[in-house]
Amino acid sequence: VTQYQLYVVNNAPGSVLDFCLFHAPPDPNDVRDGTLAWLVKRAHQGVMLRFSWADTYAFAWRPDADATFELAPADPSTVPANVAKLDHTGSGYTLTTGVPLDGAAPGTLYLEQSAAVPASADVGFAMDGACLYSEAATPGGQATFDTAAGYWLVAGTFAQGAAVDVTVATAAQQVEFPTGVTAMTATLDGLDDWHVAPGAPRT
Amino acid sequence: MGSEYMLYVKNAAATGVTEFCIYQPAPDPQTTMAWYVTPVAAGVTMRVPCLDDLDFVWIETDKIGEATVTEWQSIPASTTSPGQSEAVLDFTDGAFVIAPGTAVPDPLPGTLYVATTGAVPGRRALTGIGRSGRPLFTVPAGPNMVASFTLHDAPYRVAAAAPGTFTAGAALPIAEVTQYAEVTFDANDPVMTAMWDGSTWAVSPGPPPVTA
Repeated sequence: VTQYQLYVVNNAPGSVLDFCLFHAPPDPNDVRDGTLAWLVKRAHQGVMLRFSWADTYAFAWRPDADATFELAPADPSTVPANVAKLDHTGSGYTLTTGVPLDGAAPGTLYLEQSAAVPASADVGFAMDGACLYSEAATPGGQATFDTAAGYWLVAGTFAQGAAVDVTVATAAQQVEFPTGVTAMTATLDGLDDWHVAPGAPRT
Repeated sequence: MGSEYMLYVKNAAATGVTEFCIYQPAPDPQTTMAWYVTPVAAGVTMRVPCLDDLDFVWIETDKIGEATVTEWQSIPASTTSPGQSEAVLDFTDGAFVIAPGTAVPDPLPGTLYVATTGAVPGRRALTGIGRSGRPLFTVPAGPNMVASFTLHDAPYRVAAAAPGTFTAGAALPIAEVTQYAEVTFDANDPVMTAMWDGSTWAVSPGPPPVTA
């Protein structure tokens, strides 16, 4: 488990913006529907933010869109700890992790759904306790998440945990943590004008 | 603005990384903040300008799942420059923001004031004064309040602990901090050195001795 810190400096003149982190593949055109605003915080010009998280994954599910997600730890690096199956009985939902799955590959999380899981449920995946992707359950179906997805940062109007409009992703800034680097600083100098550098900001 | 005082902190422990935290105990009932926090490897010396630029600050920490989001802002403060001894903390468009403004009708010389507007929510942010953009003393922010801050002569402290012990910009439970040294600057000794040998501190005037 690695603890990461992303500092964000809002130097965009006269702005008050929501700064939103989300998870997406290197090509922003590949952002999937269901990608969520993972960590969001609003800031005026002249304000500093520090997002701090551990890269621990979880399987997520909820009975309907009004409920909060239930989470269960997931280990993407190990088969079959990267596979879970959600079931639904008269007494509610049960999630079983470590379920054998043909073709399961390390690096991807698999959340299978039994035929008894209603389509009104949502399934998804979380990092450090905050949901990063969800989709409507499919009875007998399977949701997957490729943990090779990277961190993306975007400024605008966002709500914590809501779906990210994929069209904004093309204006987003990817934030890569080089090997051995756990702190990065992203500075917004104007709309869509990002500067990203390793380390904490100089004050 | 150049620093009046300079603190050298040397990690003279044989091995490993030690986390150092520099702070100044706040006057009651204000909250002492972890002003400067940095990990330092064995054999390495760091130099920290103390008593440098004075600021008004606010800081807010949210938890999203297990992740944390900390937000803060600093603007210049001065006990001597007109118009820089008062600030107003507001909450507009769903976020905190601080700006110079009138906090009290008759400000006292040498005192710094932060007023809050009625829009400021309670139990969310801390506000107060800092140095070099980092919070030093704070109070909990709430609506329609005025907090006054004066600089005081309590010695700075430098504490040593395992990496990850301290959180920069967070309230520091100083009663729980045991491995610290006090550092007193004055006009005769504007440069001080605190040396950590892995178990005890030694504080001396001047920069650290040059060793072969």
